[in-house]
This record gives sequence, C-alpha cells and structure tokens, in this order.
Amino acid sequence: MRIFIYPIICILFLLFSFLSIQPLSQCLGFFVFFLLPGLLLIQNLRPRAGIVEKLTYGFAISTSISVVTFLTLGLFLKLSEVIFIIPLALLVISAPSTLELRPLRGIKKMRREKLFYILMFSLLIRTILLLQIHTIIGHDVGRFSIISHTLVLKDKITLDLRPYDDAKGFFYFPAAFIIPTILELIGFDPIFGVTIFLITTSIFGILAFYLLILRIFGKQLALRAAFFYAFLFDPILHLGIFGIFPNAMSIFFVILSMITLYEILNGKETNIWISSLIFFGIYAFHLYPILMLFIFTLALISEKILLEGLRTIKIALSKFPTILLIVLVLSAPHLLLSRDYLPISFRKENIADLMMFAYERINWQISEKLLYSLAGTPLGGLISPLSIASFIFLLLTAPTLYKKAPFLLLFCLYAFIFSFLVISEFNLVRSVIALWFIYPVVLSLLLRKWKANFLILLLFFWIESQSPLFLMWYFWSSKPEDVPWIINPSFFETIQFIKGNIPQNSKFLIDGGGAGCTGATPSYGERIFPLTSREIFFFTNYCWADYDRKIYEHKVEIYRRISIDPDDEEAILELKKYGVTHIYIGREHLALNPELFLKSQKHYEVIYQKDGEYIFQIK
Amino acid sequence: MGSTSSKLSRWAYFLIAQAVSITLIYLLANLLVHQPTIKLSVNCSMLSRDELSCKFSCNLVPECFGEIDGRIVVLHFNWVAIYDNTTSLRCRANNTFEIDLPRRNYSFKLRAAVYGEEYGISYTTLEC
Repeated sequence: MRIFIYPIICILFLLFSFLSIQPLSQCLGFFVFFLLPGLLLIQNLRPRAGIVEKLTYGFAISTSISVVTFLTLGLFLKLSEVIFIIPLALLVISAPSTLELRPLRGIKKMRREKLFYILMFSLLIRTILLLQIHTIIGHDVGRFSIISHTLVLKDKITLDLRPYDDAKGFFYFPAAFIIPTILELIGFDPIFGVTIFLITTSIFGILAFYLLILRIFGKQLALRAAFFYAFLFDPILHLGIFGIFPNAMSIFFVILSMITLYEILNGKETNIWISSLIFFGIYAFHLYPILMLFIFTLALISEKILLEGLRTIKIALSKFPTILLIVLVLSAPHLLLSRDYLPISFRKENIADLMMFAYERINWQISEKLLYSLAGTPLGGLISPLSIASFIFLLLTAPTLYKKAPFLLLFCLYAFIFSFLVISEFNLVRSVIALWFIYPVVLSLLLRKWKANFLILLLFFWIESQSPLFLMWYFWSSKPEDVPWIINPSFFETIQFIKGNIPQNSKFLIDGGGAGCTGATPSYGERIFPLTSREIFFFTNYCWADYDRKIYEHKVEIYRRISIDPDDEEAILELKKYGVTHIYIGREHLALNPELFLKSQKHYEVIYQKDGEYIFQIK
Repeated sequence: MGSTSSKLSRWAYFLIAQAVSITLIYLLANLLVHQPTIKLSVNCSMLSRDELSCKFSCNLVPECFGEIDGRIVVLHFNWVAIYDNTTSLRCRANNTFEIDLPRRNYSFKLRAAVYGEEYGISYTTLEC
C-alpha cells in the first residue's frame, strides 16, 4: 500500500499546532521530531533493514537531527518559528521520497514474535510506574526544564538565563535542555514531556540491547537477554526515573554505538552518517556513559588482536577519523556557543563541591569498594542481591562466554577495574551499570525456559534490587521518609491553583534550594516556574554554570533567616527587594515551617492550604 | 611451525594489549578522580538554643601551609543548603565560624572543603 503518510503527518501537525488542538499536536509533533527524520534517512541509507532496526535507529537519528537542527536554527531565528520550519522542511523532503507505507511493514509479522510481547509487557510496567510517580522524580528534570522554559519565554537560544535563574551562562550537554524545549513547543508541559520521552527511550533501549546481543549471539539468546534487561536491569529507566535523565538517555546511544563498533571491528558494512549521528547522540545528552564505550572498545580490540592480529584493527580504525570529524561538525554550534563556560566544571571549588557530596564513599574500605563495583546500584547505595546472583552466574558461564564472545569477559574485567577505581567520585559511581549489560546475557545463558523465567520475575517484586518490578512494589507499599521520592497529587493541585489564582508576575520563595553541584530542591518547588511561568526565588550554583557567588550566598542567608524566624523584618525587606510576593511550602516541610508562617499574621496571609501544601502571600 | 609462531605472536600482542588497556583504564581513572590529601578537622559545639534556633560555633583546622580557599556548607534533607560560606582559611590555625540554624529536631550535615593545589574535606552533624 502506498500513501503519502509522511507529508500528511507533517501537514496535520502544522494544522493542529496552529489551532492548538491537543493532544493531537503533541502526538504528531513527537512523531515529526523524534521519528520521521530518522525513518527518512534510514530508508534511504539502509533500505533492507528490518522493522526493529528501522524504528530504533529512526528514533535515535531523529533525536540527534532534531537537537542539532533546532539548536543551530535557534541561534538565528525565533524558536516559535523554528518549531514550524523543521516540519515544513520535512514536508518538502518527505513528499517525493516516501510515498510508501514501508516502516509499518513487518509490524504484523512482529506481532507474532516474543519480542513483541516483551515490549508490550515492558510498556505496561513502565506505564504503571508512570501512573505511580506522575513524572520523573529527582531534580535534573526541574533544573533543565527551568532552562528550557526560559528559552521558550525568551523565544531564542541563549545561555543567559537571567532574570528567571541567576546563571549568566552555562555549559551543559545540549539535548538536556533542547529536548524539553522542543517538547514544550509542541504542546507538552516540559516535565511530563521529558517523562514520556524517557519511557520512549527506555523502550527503544530494550530494542537497541536486543539488536546488540542479536549480532553477538543470535536471536534466541538475544530475546532472553532483552527480557532480563527489560525487567531486571534497564539502566535507562533506573537512572532516568530518579532524575538523571540526560545520562540515562545517553546510555541508549552508547548501546547503539556498541553495535556500530562491533560491526566496524568485525569488518561489516557501516554507514558513516548513521554512525556519526549515533555517536553525536552521546555527546548531545551526556559524556559520562562514553567511558563504558571506551572500555567496550578496548575489550573488542583485545579480542580482535587475539583472534586476527593487528591488521584488521588497522583497517577498522581507519573509519574513525571521518566519524569523529562529522561528530565534531555536528557539535560545533553548541561548542562555539558555550565554549567560554566549559572550564567551569573543572574549577577547584566545583571539584571540591562534588568531593564533599561523596564524603562517605571516599572513606570506604577496599572490600566495600570491591563489593559495590560488582553489585552496587548507581543511586541509593544498594548492594543488589540480583547483581550478586548474576555475578555468580557470570562465573558459571565464563567458559561459554570465552568460547562465544571472549571480549565480553574482558569487558567485565575492565568494567570492574574501572568501577573500582572511580567509585569514590560522586558522579562516576554510575559506571557500575556497565556490568548490567553483561548480567542479562549470563542469565539468559543459564535460564532458558520462558515460563520459568516469568515465574522468576515475580520474585523481583519483593527482592530489593534495581528491577523496575521492585520499584513498582516499593512505590506502592511504602512511604519513603527523609527524601520525598514521590511527587504527591497534591503538588499538581497546587500548580493548578497557582495557574488559576495567582498573578502572572508573582515570584515564589520556595522551601528548599539547591546546594552546589547537586542542586536539588526536594520540595519540587522549582517546578513551579516551568509549569506555571511564575518566577521563583531560587538559589542554585550548579557547577557547570556561571553564578555570582555572592548573590548565591546572600540568597541562602535570606532563606536561613526566614527559616529561623519568618518575622525577621530585615529578611522580609530583602525578599521584597528581590520581588518575592509568595512563599511556597510543599508537603514535605524542609526548612520553612508552615506553623510559624501561620502564626505570623502581620507579614503573611495563607491563601492556599491543602493536604500539607501551603502558599502564603507576603503582606 | 608458521602457524604456531603466528599464534604465539598473537598471544604476545594480546598480552601487550591487556597491559596497555589496563594502564589506559588506570590513567583515565586517575585523571577523573580527585582524592583529598589535606587533613581537615572540624569541631562544632552548641553555644545556645532557644525556641526558634540553635547557635553553633565551628572550628576548622586545615593541615596545610599559608592560606587556602575553603567552603563550609550546612545541608538539610541531604542536598539543600541552609548555610553556605566560601572564604579564605588560615592553615594550621583555628578558623572559627558561628552558625545559626532553625530548630527542627533534625541532624543538619556540615560539610567543609579546602582546595588549592590539593584538596581536603570533612564532615560533621549539627543537631538542632
């Protein structure tokens, strides 16, 4: 069947966006920006690729293309224009070349396969998780949506976030703020949009992992490995759901890059453009995961040397300069824009800042480091019984791995050594997830019965581990203390109240504020700005942004004084100087005590009070 | 014979590759990870307490030479700063700070760092 599917989608998106008809504009916009460009490219460059490959690479390539195009055009044009120019360009490009309903070919066939059921079940699990937590938790999504919402309000790409944030400029990986910007401009609220994007990436991540193992071991083992990856180990979901979404999404591109490297080093045909866009995806989201790729490359090269000597390596590596050059060109607009702010992350005060947050880990004993490198989780400091069991399985299956893919054993060894060496660094503890690529494989080498495997999954609802199944049970059964892990529905009611009742030019002092590089606000009050456009009195000094340290410290000082005594006249005067009109205290009271504010009728009037959430107006 | 020598040379290359790989990993890790080498001691004592706040006196002694940049942060709920002060500290001497914190029946975390050519960190809790 041949129809004009792509141009029709572009036209409908433009029409629905123009008429602000949601959620149609959101759904079509998601397709136009995050699937269509890649599908067009892959159909031309790899016409014989299967449906799984087309969809997975289509999503990855589209994301890279959209990020680089949007950023580059945004430097010269208004963002509200760019969001229409890209679909218009796609409309023109897609009209002559894609008159056939090709990408949907094979979906019928796929429906009969196990992979289809794995995907459907994975989607179900992730949807339930989404219903439980409503949006990504943690703080990164808050700070990046502050940036993206600032760009939307300013209608241009800029690194100066004032007056909405104190940063005069910053260096961060571009997709972290471009993706929420695009999502907001196609009709999503940026935080929910990023959540949907994360779940989509997690699903495509399963497919990418399947494709990787398919190339190494063949179909049956790839299916079982994808099954264990999806339900027990998914690092994209694990990191992303707790807020570290740029790092999580970068892992998706790392998996696809592993495929590229595997193909190149095995002398298979690879397309330079597709490979470059995949590698660019890593830079676009976050560079930390590239360390895993580096280790993977070393392992692959070692295996090739053992099996074939040096000659093949020389031929294979000859492709890399071209790929690196294209990646550099794609990164150039962002690098040129933010080059002045790149050194901020390497300032001594920022390195010391991260060290302070890793205080406990720096003092670990060697035995603790060893155990954590093998079985730790990157967040929460858990030694996972699932990883311990998988490591035992790894020892049992080592002879099989040595016969079939010796580089995977080397990868385990290198990953373990690297994790052990970097575990005391605050952010690099995430390297422990490198072994999560191997554990599903070793499980699938030993556990071959599908029905039994499904039964095994049931255990992981109750065993504390990195499995999304346990997360579901955890969010359902307990109310975590200390850190407000869940965003309560009451928060969204407060947001609705603010939208409907509080003037647009208001400014909120929020309970909680970011300290240094972690920059977290556990009250989630920072989300008031991207969700309602009301400004927040927010103190942050992220270690990748240019802040006036004195202003930051002064803001913390005002916050501390108000937290001690809401009637502190001098502090109230300072707040008024900053234009603060309201105080927001979330359900988890941190420094600001609502009881004290309720008593102080001279300075504050409570205008909202529901389910532990408070808004006070400053008189 | 030829095949045996070829195998041997491959194993030799392989062993060299292992040595190179592990050295590269070690060098990369060393480049990325900074370890604190300056001893920094922090001692805090409560000076007074009333209905609203607790007043602490904290003394920092970095084991370095001359002067060094330092930062003292008090956090509540793990990440949120309620006190943040960047200043210059005298090495091998008492550097005293007074810190007022709100009464919350909570263990505030005081984290301190010094940084120059080398780094030093320290940690204590303040109950208020």
